[in-house]
Amino acid sequence: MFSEPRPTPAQGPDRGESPVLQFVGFRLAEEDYAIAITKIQEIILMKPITRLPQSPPFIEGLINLRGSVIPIVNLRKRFGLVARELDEETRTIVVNVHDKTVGCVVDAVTQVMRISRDQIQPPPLGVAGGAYRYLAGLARLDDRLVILLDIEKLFQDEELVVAAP
Amino acid sequence: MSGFNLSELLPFYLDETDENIAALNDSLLRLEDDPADAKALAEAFRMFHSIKGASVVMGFASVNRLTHHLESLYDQLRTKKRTLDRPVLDLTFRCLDELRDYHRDLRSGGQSERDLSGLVVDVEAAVNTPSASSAAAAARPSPPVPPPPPAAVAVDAPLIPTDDAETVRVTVEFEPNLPLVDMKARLVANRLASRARVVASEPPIEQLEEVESLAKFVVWVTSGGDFDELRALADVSGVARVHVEVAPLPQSDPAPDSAVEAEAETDTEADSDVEPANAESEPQPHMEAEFVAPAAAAAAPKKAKIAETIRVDSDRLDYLMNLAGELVINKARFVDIAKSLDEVFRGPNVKSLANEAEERLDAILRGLDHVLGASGGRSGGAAASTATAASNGSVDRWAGQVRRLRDDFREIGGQLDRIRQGRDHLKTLSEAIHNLGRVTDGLQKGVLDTRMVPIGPLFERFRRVIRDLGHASGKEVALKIGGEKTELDKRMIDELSDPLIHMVRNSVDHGLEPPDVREAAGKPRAGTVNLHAAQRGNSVVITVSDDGRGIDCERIRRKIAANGLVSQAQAAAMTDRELVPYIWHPGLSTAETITEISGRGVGMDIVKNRIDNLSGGVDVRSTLGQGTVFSIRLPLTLAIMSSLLVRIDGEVYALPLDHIDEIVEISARQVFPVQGRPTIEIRKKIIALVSLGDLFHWGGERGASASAADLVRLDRDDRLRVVIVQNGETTIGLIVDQMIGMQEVVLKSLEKNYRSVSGLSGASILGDGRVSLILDVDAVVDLAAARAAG
Repeated sequence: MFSEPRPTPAQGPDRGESPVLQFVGFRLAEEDYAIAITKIQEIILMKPITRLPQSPPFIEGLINLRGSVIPIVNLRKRFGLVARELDEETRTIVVNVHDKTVGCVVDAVTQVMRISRDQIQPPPLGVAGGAYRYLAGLARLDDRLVILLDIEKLFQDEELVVAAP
Repeated sequence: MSGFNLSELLPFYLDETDENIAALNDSLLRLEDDPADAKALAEAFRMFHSIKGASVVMGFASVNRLTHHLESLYDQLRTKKRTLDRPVLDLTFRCLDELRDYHRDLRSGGQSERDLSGLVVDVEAAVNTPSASSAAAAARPSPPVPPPPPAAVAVDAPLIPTDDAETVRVTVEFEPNLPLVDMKARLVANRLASRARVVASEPPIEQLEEVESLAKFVVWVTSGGDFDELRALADVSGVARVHVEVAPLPQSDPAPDSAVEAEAETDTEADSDVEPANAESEPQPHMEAEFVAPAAAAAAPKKAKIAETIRVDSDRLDYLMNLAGELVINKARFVDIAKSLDEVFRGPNVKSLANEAEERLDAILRGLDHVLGASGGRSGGAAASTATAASNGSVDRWAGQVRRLRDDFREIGGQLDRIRQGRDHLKTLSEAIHNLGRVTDGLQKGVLDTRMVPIGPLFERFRRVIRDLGHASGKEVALKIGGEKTELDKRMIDELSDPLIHMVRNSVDHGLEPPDVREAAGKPRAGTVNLHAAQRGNSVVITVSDDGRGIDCERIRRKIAANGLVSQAQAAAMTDRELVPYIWHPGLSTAETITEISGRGVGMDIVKNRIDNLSGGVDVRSTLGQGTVFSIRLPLTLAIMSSLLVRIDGEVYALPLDHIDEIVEISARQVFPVQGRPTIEIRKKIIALVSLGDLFHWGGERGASASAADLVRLDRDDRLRVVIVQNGETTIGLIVDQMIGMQEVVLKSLEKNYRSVSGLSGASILGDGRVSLILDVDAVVDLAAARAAG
């Protein structure tokens, strides 16, 4: 069926044998992003957030997720985009990375999408700026360009691990 | 054997052996004071025997061999065939250390590569060397190689039967439905065998494993021991009654099976065993022949002292603890909900209002009916009648409206009745919640209590540490222990061991002077190290103190200047109080020479880190020439915390109660600026006033809340609510916006899903489901101090 899949540059966290990967799409400042579904625990509505001191600005604070205390990362702020008022579309995507559970605030969750490996292209250098290293690749879906986020790499950063200066 | 999986028994074996080794340490320390202490000798002998028996079951051949020879050695001592001298004692201590390390390896990895054969040779040599010359033979770590020992040395000397001794029948009745009764029976036989020669039993020992339940176990022994001793030996936990009497062997048993001989055979076999002495988890074939000393063996002699205990996997306790924590949070939610419902239902009694309205409407209706009836009766002329009809029609309509209104109110009244019933139900609900709360709190406390263990055993371990340290450093050291009944979370005690060892080492090595120096200074030759624990409110304070030379601040001054930690001028200007905390600095050791024990400049900073990790604090006070006192303050448990909830800048924070001195409300005119920083006077003490907004960074910026510097410019009539907190040394006033109340909060770690945050010791979930932050008062005080210094 899938004759000769092109070698994918995807650093996709899920590099199983399956040629089709599932992603959860979300919107962030008019751009389409997606995270591998295998990393996602659940998607929740916004909950009351307790602000957390001594933390970078993109850490919104802590929430209570059924008895667990988890940090909330604002992805807009994380990528240096202009912050935006929360509205009824705002969602928190709860992901499991590096044995930790973290909530990511996004503008809206769009859909679950199936992307075959050969649809995934490497991000062109220089396009994504500093965020380049967090991208698993780009995928063309209909008339949209979806940015595939490597959530593992995003949180590999010292920020979630080491104490702030 | 009894169909057990041996690896399942390993944890029990390790626990019991650890206890045995600890008990042995105690006995040996007692023997060091009084080498002729017969009770201690007998105990040591019994412990070695227990370890030997247990190890053979588990198949740890090298442990079995070593303890076998130690058992022989202590039997000689016990039966006064030799006297205990220092070389033998030192050798025993060395064996204990090796055994402890060996078992520690087993615990961590399931096997140990430690080679015990060197010690086996040493001990064997000691056993075979007559008492007089034994000193020379076993004195040094490298004893002369002994002549090849006879295969069977004076094994199990107490078991040497006196052939013409009377046969004594020991009848043991077990408690009904006792689990593992076969093990217990073996234990009884085994214990009896330590003092007497077991000649037979009913049922026979090798058939015990086939026994499903056993009410009575009879052992025939020949012994020189008295009945009381036998009775005591047979009275293990689970035994209901012991009967000892002189009785002939049952004739039906033509060849009394001598398990003792079997044991001796085993031992011989072990002696000639040429395999390297390392541990194997596989059962050895000869274990069948050995009397089993099951796990409970060691606990039995101490039975009278110790309450009945049960071993529980600590993970299970943690799980229960978490559940109880969730329950407490949910209870708090219920209380919140009931409270808000109560507020909703409170207010004037609307039912009577509705009734009144209904009555009033009734009256109006009656009035209208009256008007209608009157006009109907008077109707005469056509014109008048038309007018009346029209008016009647409209009155009728109004009356209909009013009637409907009245009926509505009647309906509302009925509904209000139900609301009143609801209010009654709410009252019952509140009571139920109150009861649930009581049970929840009790449950949580109960679960917490299961984790609490006395600190005594941890302290006791230091007798040995002190002894070794004293020997190694050539100092005379006495250890004093106090408050050993103080209880702490088990996990806390486990974590405390290393820091305490560092501190005790530090005290002996750096604190105490050599005997001659002490004498010259007019002190007793022997230095004293004091370990003490006490509960203070929600904390436990552990002090490690010595009566040594104290911390030499001048030396710290030189050191930190030399290491470049501060400039020469700064160092010269520092007070003692500023200098002493540098002992926690990594890389700073004030000992002039590096010793084997301490003085490499590592240790004290680790101590501080470890204790910080336990949400505790450590303080040091020292008087030059008189000694040093380290005080460690720890929360009783890591799981739960009594705290004051306050609102600061819109967020709810929990302040640990045991750090709070008092809560005051002051007016802004009582705030005095000192170099631009606000201070207040509380009970004749000037303290710094801080706000969290000043200490914390919010999203990389200063907080939005009032900065303390602004306070100086506050309106003079403004009121400020201030919580006075202290970390044992420094007191500060923390400005809060609102006091909410006291609550037990369940501590959740921030590291689990995020990272540690300076100034916070964790988070907790409030009754309304929101997260609140728990302030780490020690760190907050440090932050305030750092800000003041910077």
